[in-house]
Amino acid sequence: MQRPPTTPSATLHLSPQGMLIAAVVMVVGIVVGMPHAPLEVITVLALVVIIGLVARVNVPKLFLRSLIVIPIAGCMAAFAPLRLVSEWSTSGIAQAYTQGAGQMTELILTPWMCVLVMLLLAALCPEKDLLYALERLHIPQAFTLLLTFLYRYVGVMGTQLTAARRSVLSRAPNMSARKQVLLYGNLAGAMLVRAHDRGERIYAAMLSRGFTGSLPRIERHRFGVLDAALVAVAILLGFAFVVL
Amino acid sequence: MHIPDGMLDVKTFSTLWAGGGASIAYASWWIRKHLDGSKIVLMAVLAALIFGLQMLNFPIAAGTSGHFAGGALAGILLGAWPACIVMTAVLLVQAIFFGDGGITTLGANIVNLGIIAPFVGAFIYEIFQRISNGYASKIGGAFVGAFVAVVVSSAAVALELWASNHAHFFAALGAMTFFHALIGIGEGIVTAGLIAYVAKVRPQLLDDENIPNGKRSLKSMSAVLGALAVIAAGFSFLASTHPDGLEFVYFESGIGAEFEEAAYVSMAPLSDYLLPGVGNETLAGIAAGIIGAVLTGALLFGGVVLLKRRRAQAVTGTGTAETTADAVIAEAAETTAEAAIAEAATTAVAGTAKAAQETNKTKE
Repeated sequence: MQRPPTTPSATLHLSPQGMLIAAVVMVVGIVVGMPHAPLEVITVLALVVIIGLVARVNVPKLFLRSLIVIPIAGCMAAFAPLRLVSEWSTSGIAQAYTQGAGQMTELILTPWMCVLVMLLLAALCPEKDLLYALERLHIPQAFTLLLTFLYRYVGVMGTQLTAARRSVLSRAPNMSARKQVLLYGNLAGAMLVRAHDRGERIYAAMLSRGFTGSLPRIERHRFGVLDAALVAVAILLGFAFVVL
Repeated sequence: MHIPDGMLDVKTFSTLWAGGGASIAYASWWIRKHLDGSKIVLMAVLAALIFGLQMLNFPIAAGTSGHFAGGALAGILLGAWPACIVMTAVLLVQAIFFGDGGITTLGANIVNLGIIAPFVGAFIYEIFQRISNGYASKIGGAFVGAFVAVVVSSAAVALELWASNHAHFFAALGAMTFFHALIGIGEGIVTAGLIAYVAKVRPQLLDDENIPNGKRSLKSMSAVLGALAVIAAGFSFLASTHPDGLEFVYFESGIGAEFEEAAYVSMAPLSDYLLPGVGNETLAGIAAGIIGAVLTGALLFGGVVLLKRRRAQAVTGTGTAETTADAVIAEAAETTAEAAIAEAATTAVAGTAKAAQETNKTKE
């Protein structure tokens, strides 16, 4: 009996390494292709929506999450026209902002589209698959090993942090904000020491179970014809963004 | 401080990718050479901690908020090169999974948060340790190191934004350093608090004598920081086509009056960051950026490897008693590391033994 696909990437029959390459190529195309024509923006957004719907990703949530980049991009866009100021007066600054309106729009649109592409990738491929993709793309082993452990220990750290926060809340529910800031350091130190102790135990247990540097995976994704087609489309689109 | 995609132009982000990539390649090699499997655990735990702490925002002035960066902390606890790898891992996860920081700007973020911050933080902490090895010195060094690391990294961000012609140099520098000076206080408090806790509860994490050649070497850290300063100075003169910032001062003050810009620009093979013979200006810019990135990366990596070989030859040749002792320690550590890796990778017997030892410890 055939097992039903478990991840969005499996639904699309694509390998994580193919999707990672395609996403990076698209991001590079979007960044290098600045400034963008409206057609380019519509193409990127349509692609994200279509792929998201086909892979049964929560598209509205994806768009909502992508707004994370707006505060920093908006801040930088707000400062950008200042370099065009020829005279430091109200009219000079206003003129600079009129001239720099296009650049401001670009500085907000570009990072937003890039974040959308990367969040779509993250929604399509689970963390473990992306780690496997990095391994297949010959990222140094010391590095992938560290990412593997990071993936493993983020959960451990989360558990320890929740326990410590509960403990602080139960002991000092009315602690002032200033004292809380001072407490962060000690709390972080306690997290480090506890997680390190637990991490060493986990590492010993992993070694005893035959851990060889990468986490075992159920599915093996090979870079196939569909992946090659996906990367080719991404390259063509990226090239089009740059040239047009 | 994570720069998103689109904030840096091709020449800037490709140059920083080259610099960051070469440094990470060297750091990976350094770790493989000097650290054993158990240190990977500490690195991973620290990466997870920094990753978690970066999500905690604390309020600063004018309704804005800042978050912990962690570069200095990693530099103090692990040494500068392992810290580079830890910070790169954190930045990579954030860029791919959370859209925090860009892909094209990952090189810049690695340079700012993964190289400058750990080196500056560890350097300042080490200076404090040379003055006094006491508890107060550890806390003071951690606070000042973290504070300065954040401010210097933010200045680097301002330099990169200006080099991309997306910001006025002095406006960006003023805004970035002002707000990050406030964030730096929070960073300093958290780092000092953490170091204070570790110094009391687990002091061996701070004074690890098993890591040879580099964790506490002021010379090597000074060399890297000096190289970074020279690169930043060169970068600021060459990167921008607009006469603002340093270039403005240089030419307007009359210091550079004797230099005709056209004279040296026309002699350069990739003048104005364009590959000659390519009609499309954007493609010519990309091609020039790629060539520049590959050349810079190759030169940096080659230089570091050459320096390392010469040093190794000097040690094995006519070294003093001290350098010979260092070499013996390094060799012993290397053998131990290799043995540990071999043990971790192949022998289930050794794994079972470790598990048995662990069980005994728990029972005790």
